[in-house]
Amino acid sequence: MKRSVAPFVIFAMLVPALALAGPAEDKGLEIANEADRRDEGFSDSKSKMLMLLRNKRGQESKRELEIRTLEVKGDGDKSLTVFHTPRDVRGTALLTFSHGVEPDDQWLYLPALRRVKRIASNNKSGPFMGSEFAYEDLSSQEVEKYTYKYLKDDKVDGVDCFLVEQYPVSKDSGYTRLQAWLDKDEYRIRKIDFYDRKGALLKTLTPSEYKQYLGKHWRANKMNMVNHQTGKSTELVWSEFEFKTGLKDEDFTRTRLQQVL
Amino acid sequence: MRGSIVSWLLTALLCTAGSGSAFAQERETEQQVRELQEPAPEAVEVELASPTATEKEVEWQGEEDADEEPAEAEEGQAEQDEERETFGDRFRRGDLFGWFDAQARFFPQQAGNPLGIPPQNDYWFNGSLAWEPGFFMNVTDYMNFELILFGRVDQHDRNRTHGDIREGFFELFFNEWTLGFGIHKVFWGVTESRHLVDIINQNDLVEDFDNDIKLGQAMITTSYTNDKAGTFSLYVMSWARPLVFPGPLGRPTLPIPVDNDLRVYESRLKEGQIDAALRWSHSMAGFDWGLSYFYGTAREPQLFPMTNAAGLPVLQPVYDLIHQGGLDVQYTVEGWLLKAESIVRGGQGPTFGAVTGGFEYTFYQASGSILDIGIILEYSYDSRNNNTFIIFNNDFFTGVRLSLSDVGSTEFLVGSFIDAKDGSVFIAAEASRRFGDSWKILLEGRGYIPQKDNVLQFFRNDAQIQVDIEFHY
Repeated sequence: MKRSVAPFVIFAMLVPALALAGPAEDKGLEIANEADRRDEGFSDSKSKMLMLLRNKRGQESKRELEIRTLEVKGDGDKSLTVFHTPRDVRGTALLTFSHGVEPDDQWLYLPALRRVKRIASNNKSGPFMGSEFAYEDLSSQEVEKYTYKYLKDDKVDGVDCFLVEQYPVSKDSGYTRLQAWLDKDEYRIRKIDFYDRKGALLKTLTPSEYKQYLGKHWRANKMNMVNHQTGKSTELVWSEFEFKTGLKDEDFTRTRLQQVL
Repeated sequence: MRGSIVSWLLTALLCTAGSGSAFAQERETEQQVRELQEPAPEAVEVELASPTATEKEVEWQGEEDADEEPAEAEEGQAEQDEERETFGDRFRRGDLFGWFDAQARFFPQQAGNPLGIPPQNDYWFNGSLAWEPGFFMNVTDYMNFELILFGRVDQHDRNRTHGDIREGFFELFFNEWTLGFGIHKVFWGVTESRHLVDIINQNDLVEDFDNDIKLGQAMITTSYTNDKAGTFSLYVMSWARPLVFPGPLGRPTLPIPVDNDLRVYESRLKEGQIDAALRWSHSMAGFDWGLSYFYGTAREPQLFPMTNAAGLPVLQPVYDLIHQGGLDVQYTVEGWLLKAESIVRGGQGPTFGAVTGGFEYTFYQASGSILDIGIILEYSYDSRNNNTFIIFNNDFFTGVRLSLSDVGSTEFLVGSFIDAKDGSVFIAAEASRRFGDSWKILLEGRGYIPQKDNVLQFFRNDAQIQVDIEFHY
């Protein structure tokens, strides 16, 4: 690690965040905690997700998924993701037990072989199904996964926001830092800029069409991720959000992974 | 043909729908109770972007509330009606899926005659077509039904022109318990090169000899899953399927044909033998464990040379009653998967043991690209050392997998088995990519580099290139 220059540069960039827990760091963490606290208590949720992958020439390809999430007290959430399209991976399902700073546990179900396979979970930075979303972008967002620094107040589309910089704790992350704009009203993410391992701007995420469920939980019905380096983009369109559907631990097991369709 | 399947399906489903709806109604009641205790789940949905939309939505919400109150008395009745209709709705909502495959195999070498018998399979091209149609539905919230059929028509090999019911399976699940019955496929194990503990289903050997494709197995099965104790499964099976080998016109094929009409069973009940299996599996920290036990008719027969009624040399399959204990374990840490499987089998000649173990390591986004590189190294040992038909008695497997993580999920695989004793090699390379949303093309090449006296000698001239064009729907 000491021999190559790049990691040193990254390390140097992380130093201010790690070493100095000053007022800006405290305020950053406070904002993250508040955003987390406001979404607590959803128990479980179900939703459908359409992924629209667009390349530079505007060619589009589609993926349809179904996602179930179980809120776990004192640990990261459990989630189950099932593919409906493309049809050659129909029924393929991913079970994730996320654990904050500790690596997640992940199992993949391959329906053609009827095989449940435990997979390595350090593939955080890899693209999810060829999209511009990395696995880490779609995994459960736990407060402990980052350290924080409040930068300033800012506006996104005329809405008053906090601008907070986030530094991934995991060494497997594909990012050196994220800049997140959260609106002051409801602590909803309005925009995130992702900076790659070299520190260059890689992607921008823009959630839109927020709706509130159960009078509490805000969910963006659309999320657009643009990759500035390749010109490709991926739009997520969420639908049929349901909360408190009665899902239990038993619905997030390797056995159930084979029966979710 | 299709009509008759559908009507059979309907009858079968209707017979079982009654038992499921009791559960469904129970849950319905549960839900109603919950709704009474808590505010309605579909609470106010406020559009953030435009304030006018917000007003409208609130207004509309209000209207609905007003409508709802007088209608509440009828709600119970209405919901029961809905429940009665649900089966039809669910059937219509069922998922029709499957794939078509057009396959071409090219054989650049002249077929050999290792035992001095002139080969009947000396062709350079073999074409075949396959279809695997499927249907899936949630019969109730607590019951699934899946039907998957399969058929292939092969240009040369009569044995490879075959059909199968891959799945015809009802599965009920309630909290920690599952109960399933019908024709089903079950996979056990962790290693890639050899599936030792996996024993429930017969291999579809004519489809491919890589042991990944299986025939459906009739069974009744139940399982109990608990976070702390893991999963316990019990299987009771019958009508184990005989292993079908490629015919004399198949390529590759054995130099002496296997005559399944001459097959013998140790069990007095023959095919009607009831097999039983138990399995416990659990994940603890980075470990995934599996312990299994099987008693019943062996899936893998012993083959004995004899002459058939016409006086020709054939191999006679003998299906013994066996006991098999199996253990599989995987340890996962960062990019490493460490794996091992082991079995002990009694009843098929002297008791023997076999083990396969090794690792898989993946370099994700190797050198900053979107390319993932996985390497696999496994070793297999089988104590049936003197048996010529056991290819994996002392062998290494090495494999490299390149995945592009692109829109078409492009993948390259190269794998080879190397006999640790004599250095014989079997090598296969594969590439696959999806085109658009439905098409998939697979390319595969296989070659054999056998040393003297190795069983691979039989396939020395059977190097092949295979192209598959698949349409998935």
